[in-house]
Amino acid sequence: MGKVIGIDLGTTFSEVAVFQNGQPQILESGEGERTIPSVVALSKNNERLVGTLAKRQAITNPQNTVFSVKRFIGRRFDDKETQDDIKTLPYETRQSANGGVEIKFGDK
Amino acid sequence: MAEPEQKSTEEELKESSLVDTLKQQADDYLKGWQTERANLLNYQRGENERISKMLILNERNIILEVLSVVDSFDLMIKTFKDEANEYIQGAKLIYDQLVNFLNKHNCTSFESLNQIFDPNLHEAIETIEDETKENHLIIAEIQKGYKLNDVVLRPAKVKVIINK
Repeated sequence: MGKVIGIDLGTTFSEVAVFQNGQPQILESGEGERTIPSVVALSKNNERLVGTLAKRQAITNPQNTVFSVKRFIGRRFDDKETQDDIKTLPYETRQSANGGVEIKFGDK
Repeated sequence: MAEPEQKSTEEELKESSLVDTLKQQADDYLKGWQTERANLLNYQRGENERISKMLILNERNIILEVLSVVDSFDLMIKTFKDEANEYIQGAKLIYDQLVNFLNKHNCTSFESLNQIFDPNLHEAIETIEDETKENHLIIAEIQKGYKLNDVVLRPAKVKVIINK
């Protein structure tokens, strides 16, 4: 049987667990953390950063550091909640073809 | 004379069937023993990994606690610049003792000032715009960064130059 993994995607922190020996076990990041900040970033030299590393550099690179993205999942771009959230976020968002929310990340 | 021969064949069949059953049983026991042996080895390996991880984690946590005391001494020595003051001299001695303790455990601080910001080593807590300086240059270290066994234990908290 293939491995079963579970992901808890939180607004600020996320966790990943794998089902081993009949029990779920939370996986640790390279830095030994069991919870990982829900942050991704693209550095100036186009290096993709995830979790703690992305969070550490957030204020030096606010336009390419994406966080709190869970708030937009399942929402439409013109929802009042979406528009209120967008005002406080440093990264660029736009309306997608199906009316959802798209985030500008690097050149994409 | 025919009867005993027939009995003997029946007995042979019974014996052969018993041998087959016992062989099957022995195979099952062997397989079961092999599976349990493999499970035990896996368990031992898992336990050893868990114990060494726990020891490393405990060491990290203790050193992180000590670092907060070292930070306080560091701040005190930086704030009170009167080197002739005997209290400051005493504080410096205790600070040196703590640094020696950290070094014994392969925990060392690293330089951040005037380096280029690297999220693997530094955490930016403030940015300053200055076109005369190199982008992402660290101009102040608010809290020292430390490595334990050459792996970052705590990143340095720094102020960074940002040129838009």
